[in-house]
Amino acid sequence: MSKFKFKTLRLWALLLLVAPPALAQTAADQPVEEDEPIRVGEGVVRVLPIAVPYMPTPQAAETPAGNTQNLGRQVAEIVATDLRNSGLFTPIGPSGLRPVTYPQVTAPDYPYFATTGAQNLVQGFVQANADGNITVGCYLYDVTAGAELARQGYVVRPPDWRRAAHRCADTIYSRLTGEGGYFDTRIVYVSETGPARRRIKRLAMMDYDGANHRFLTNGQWTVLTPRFAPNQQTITFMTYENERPRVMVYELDSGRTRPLVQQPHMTFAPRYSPDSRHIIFSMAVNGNTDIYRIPVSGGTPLRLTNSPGIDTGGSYSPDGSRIVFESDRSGSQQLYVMSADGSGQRRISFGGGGYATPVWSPRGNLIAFTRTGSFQIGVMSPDGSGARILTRGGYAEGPTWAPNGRAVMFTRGASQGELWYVDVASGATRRVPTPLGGSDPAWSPLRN
Amino acid sequence: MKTKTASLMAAILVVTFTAGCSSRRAQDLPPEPPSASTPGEGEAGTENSGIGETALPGSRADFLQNVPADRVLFAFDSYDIDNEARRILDAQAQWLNANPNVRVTIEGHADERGTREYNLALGDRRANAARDYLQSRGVSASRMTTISWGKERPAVEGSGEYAWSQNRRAVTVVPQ
Amino acid sequence: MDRAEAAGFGVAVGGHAALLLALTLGLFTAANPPIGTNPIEVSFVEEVGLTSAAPEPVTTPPEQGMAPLTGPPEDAATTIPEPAPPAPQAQPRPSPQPQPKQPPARERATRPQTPTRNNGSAQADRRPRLGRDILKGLGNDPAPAAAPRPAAAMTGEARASINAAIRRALLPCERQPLPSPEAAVIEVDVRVTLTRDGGLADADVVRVRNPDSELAHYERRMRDLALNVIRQCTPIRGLPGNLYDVPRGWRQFTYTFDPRQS
Repeated sequence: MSKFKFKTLRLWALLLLVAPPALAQTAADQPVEEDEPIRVGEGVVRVLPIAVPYMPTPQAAETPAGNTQNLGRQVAEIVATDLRNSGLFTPIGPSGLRPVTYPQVTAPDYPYFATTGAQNLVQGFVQANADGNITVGCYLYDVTAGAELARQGYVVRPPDWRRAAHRCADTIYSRLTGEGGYFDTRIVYVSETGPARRRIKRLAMMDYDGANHRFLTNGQWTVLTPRFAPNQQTITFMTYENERPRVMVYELDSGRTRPLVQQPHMTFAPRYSPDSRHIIFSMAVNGNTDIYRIPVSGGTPLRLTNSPGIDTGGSYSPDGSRIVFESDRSGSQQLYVMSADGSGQRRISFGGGGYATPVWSPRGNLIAFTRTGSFQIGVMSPDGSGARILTRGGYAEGPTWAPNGRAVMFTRGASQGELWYVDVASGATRRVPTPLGGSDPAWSPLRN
Repeated sequence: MKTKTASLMAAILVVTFTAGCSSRRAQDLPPEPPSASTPGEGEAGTENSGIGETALPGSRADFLQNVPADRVLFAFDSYDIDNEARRILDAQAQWLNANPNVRVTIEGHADERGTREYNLALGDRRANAARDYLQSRGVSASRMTTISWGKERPAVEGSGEYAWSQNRRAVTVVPQ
Repeated sequence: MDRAEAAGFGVAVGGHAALLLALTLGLFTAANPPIGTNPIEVSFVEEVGLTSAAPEPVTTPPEQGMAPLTGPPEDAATTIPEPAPPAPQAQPRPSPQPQPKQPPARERATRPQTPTRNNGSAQADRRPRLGRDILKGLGNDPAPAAAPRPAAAMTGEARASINAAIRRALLPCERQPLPSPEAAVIEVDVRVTLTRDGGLADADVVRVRNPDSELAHYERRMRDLALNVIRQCTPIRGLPGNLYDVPRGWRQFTYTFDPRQS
C-alpha cells in the first residue's frame, strides 16, 4: 500500500438541472408536491477515514495465542492493516487513539471520534472463553450518524485468532463497500530462490497478508502455476517431478499428491471448474498444444480445442458455462471464449501486441489478462470491450482474482518475482510480503 | 588432430555459453533440494568434455567433440529451423546415425519475454521442431524424447538481447 | 507607576472602552435589522450551532445481550456475550444510544451528537451559506424560523425558491465517497422532515433507482451516502418560518442523491 494516492479522484461533475421523475408514492401525512427538484450528489472515489482503536478485553487472560490484552491490540492492528491494504480506507489508529474501555465497545464516544476526522469507527473486544476458545467481537459505527452499522462475533481456536481479525475486517469492508470481503483468504504460490539458471521453486501457502507461511514441497523439483480448488480441498499445479512435466493434484488434508493425467505428453496450465469437479488443462502433443477437460478424480481427457496453434490458459466463467482461453492461431496471442464443451469459439481481443493468461472474475463481469509486449495486467469485459490496464511499470504477468472480484494479484518481475495486488476500481497497488521471491499466486476463495 | 579440434570446440563452447558452467553446481543456494538432480539441459557435459583426452564413443563428450554445437537457436516467438540450425542438426544427425544405440533428450527453451504457460508450449514446439528435423535426417523418433522448460532454465542470465538470443534454444542432450 | 506609564494606561483604558462601545453598537445593529427595509432578507448562516436542533426521544433501550452474532469461523451457532452496558453514572450523555437492532435505523438519519464536527475544518467550511437573494420576492416576512405566521400560503414560485435554497444548503455535503465508480448510476430519493428551526427531524430513503441489477450489492451503501448528505448539512438555517408547515411547506421535502455525471 505504499503507493496509494490520497488524492481525491473527481470522477463526476455536478448534475444540476435535471428534473426528477415524479415520486411521492410513499404516503406521508402531509404530501409534498414535487414542484421543484432537489437533486444533489457528486460521486467521488476516495479513501475513507476510519478509526480503529485498540480492542479492550473484559478480563485479561492468558491463552495459547497470548494474553487477551495483547490480542486486542494485535487484532485492531490487523483490522487496520487489512483496511489500509485494500486501498479504500485510511485507518486512524490504533496507536494514538484514546483507549476504549470494555463498556464503551457498544457505546462509542462519538464526539471524541468525530474530532479524529473519522467517518466510521471500528470497535471490538477480545475475550478468553472457558472452553479454551477466543471470542472476538467486532462493531462498525457511523460517526456522522451516530449509529451502529454492523456487528459480528467470531469464536476461534487460539491458533486461528488472526482469522477472527480478518473476518472482522471483511465485515467492515463489506458493509462499507457493498463488496464481499477477501481478507480471510489464503494464497498458494511458487516460492523462488537461487539464480535464474538454477532456480529452486517450491509450492508455498500463506494467509493473504503473508502470515502463517509454509512450504508444501521441498524444492527438489520445479513447480509452477498452482491453483486453489473452489472447494478448497485440493490444489492443482504443474511439477517437473522426475523430469516429467505434468499436472498434479495435491490434497490439502492428507498432503498426498497424484498425477491428474496418465499421459506421456506434457500437461500444464490447469484450472478448476467452478464446481471443483473438473480441471481444464493444456496438453502439448508433438508441438501442438490444445485444451482438455478431465474429472479431478481422473479419467480420460476430453479435448476441447483443436487448432494447430497454442491453445492454453483456459479459465471458466463463474457459472461454468463458458471458458476463456488464449490462442496464437491468428499469429499472435489473443483471447477467445468458447462454450464449456469447446463449441462456439470466438475471438474477443483484437489489440496489437498480444493478450495472455485470461482469468474470469468471480463476479463474471470482467476478464483479467496479461498484456504481452508491455507485460502489464489489465481487465476487459467478457465480450472484449472496455479493456484497460491496471498496472504501471515493471514486468507483470499471471493475474489471479480475489474472491470478491475487486482485487487482482499477480507476479511482478521477469527474473526475480514478487507478489503484488491491485484494487481494480481504484488502481491502488500493494506488495504481498513473502520470505523469498514469489510467482504464480493463486487466491483462495473466502475460507469457510 | 582430433585432440586439437576438441580443444578448439571446448574453447568455443566455453566462450559461447560463458556463465553456463561455472556457477552451475554452486551449492550455496538456500534450501538446497535433497537430490541435486540436474534438471535442464545437459550442458554440464561441456565441463567434462575431456580436453586433451579421447572421449568414449557414444558418450556425451564424444557427441560434443563431433558436432558444431549441442543446441540450435531460434528467433523471437519462432520455432523455425534456420540455415545455421540445419547445419548443426545435420552434424548431430550424422553423429546419432553413427551411434545408433544412443537415446537423446531434446530440451526446448524460451526467453523470459513470454507468459509462463505460453512459453512452455513454445519450448515444446522448439524441441519438436528440432526432433522432427533430426528424424527427417534419419534418426528414429523412438530414440528421441522431448521436454519443454519454457523460460524456467535460461542458459544465460540477464534481460538483454544477447541473453534472450541464447535462451531461445533447443538442446540435444546425450547421456553422460 | 510613573507618569508615562500612567498616561499609557489611561490611553489603553480609553481605547478599549471606545472599542467596546463600537463593537456593542455594531452587534446591536446587526442583531436588530431595521424592520421593513429589506423584508426578503434571509439570515446569513455563518455558524451552525452545536446544539441539537431536535432532541429525539429515542426510546430504544441499550441493546446489551440482544444481538446473536453470526458467522463465527468455527462455530456458527455461538453467540458472544455483550459487553456490559456503560455505567450510567459515568456517561452523562445527552443523546441516547444508537439503535443497532433496528434495520430501518440504518436508513434513517438521526441526529448525531455532534453533527458538525465530524469532518473537522473541511466539513465546517462546507456549511450552508445561503445567499441573501435566495428568497427574493418570496414574501414579506423577515422573521426567523421560530416565529411562524399561520396565515401565509405557499406559492409555486416560493416553493421553487425554497427548494433552491435547500439544494444550495446541501451542496457542500454532496461529495460522498462511492464504494466503486460503477455505483454512480444508482440514484437514491430521500424524504426529509425538518424541525421548525431547520434541524433534521427525520430522513428516510423512499426509493432507490438502480438501472443495473448487477450493481445491487452497492445499493445499501448508496443509501448510507444519500442520508449522509442531509445528516452532514443540517440544520438548514434561514428558511421562512411562516412557510414551514403550511400546505406544501418545507417541513417535508424529498431530494435525490445522484452522483452521476450529466
